[in-house]
Amino acid sequence: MKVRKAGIVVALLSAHAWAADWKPVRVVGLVYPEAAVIQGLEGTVKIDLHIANDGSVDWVVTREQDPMTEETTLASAAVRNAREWKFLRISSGNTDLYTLTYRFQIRRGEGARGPSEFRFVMPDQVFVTAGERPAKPSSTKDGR
Amino acid sequence: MRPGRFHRWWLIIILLNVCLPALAEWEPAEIVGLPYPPLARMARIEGIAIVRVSVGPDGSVRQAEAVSGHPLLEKAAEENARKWKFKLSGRSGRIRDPYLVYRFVLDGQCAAGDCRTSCVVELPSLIVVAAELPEVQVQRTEVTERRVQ
Repeated sequence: MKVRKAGIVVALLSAHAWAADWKPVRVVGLVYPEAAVIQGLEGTVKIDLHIANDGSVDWVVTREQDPMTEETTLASAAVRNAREWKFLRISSGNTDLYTLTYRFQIRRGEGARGPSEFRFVMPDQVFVTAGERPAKPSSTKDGR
Repeated sequence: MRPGRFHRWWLIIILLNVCLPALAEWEPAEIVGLPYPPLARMARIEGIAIVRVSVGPDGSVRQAEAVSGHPLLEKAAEENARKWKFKLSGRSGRIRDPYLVYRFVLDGQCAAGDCRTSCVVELPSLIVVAAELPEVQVQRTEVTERRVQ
């Protein structure tokens, strides 16, 4: 019986090692929306992704967002981006939901100018930063 | 259950545990996007750049060296690879240096100053960077097409 107990412990441990059900296999970069950079909009958006059997995202829903990102380009940019990701099932778990946290931040101060940068930290943190830009009346167009 | 039969089960579970992650590999832990290199886009250079990454014990990139590709693309790919971080998957065995494959594609047209570039990472090692071509060059090709007709 000792042997049996040890077997069960080992089996439980191995199941625990793959506790997460899905892992991302296609990560799609996101550019800080130009309009949001000009307006100085920043914030955090949490998005729930529902993953279909083939690993694609079939629907997304905004779970949490800062008041500042509300009704703005940031939340919708995150939603549009999340739809393009792909996932791989790594265990036959019971959840098809995956939550991504998008953090939009504007780099300020000397030497902060520069293009938008995208960083994804496994397993679910997305950082999008862009250099501060003074508002220009001529460039009101939303750069995609 | 006969003891002998259970013994076999136990052996299989142990073997699975040991054998599945036998090869230790560096897996991306932090992915950084990159834009299409502006000079390469102006010169309409497309293609593939392959970067060999050597990873330090903490998972940060110690060295990134392009092994093939156009110099302009190689430079952008190397710079990008240095910003990545890796983590070790598997628990034992020999550790291989990861390779990152960057595919640069020019596709579509755009109005000057409003050109879209996209970056898609297919894990574990393929990065596809796509960009639109500025309109000026598109107009030029239209003119040549008309001449041909």
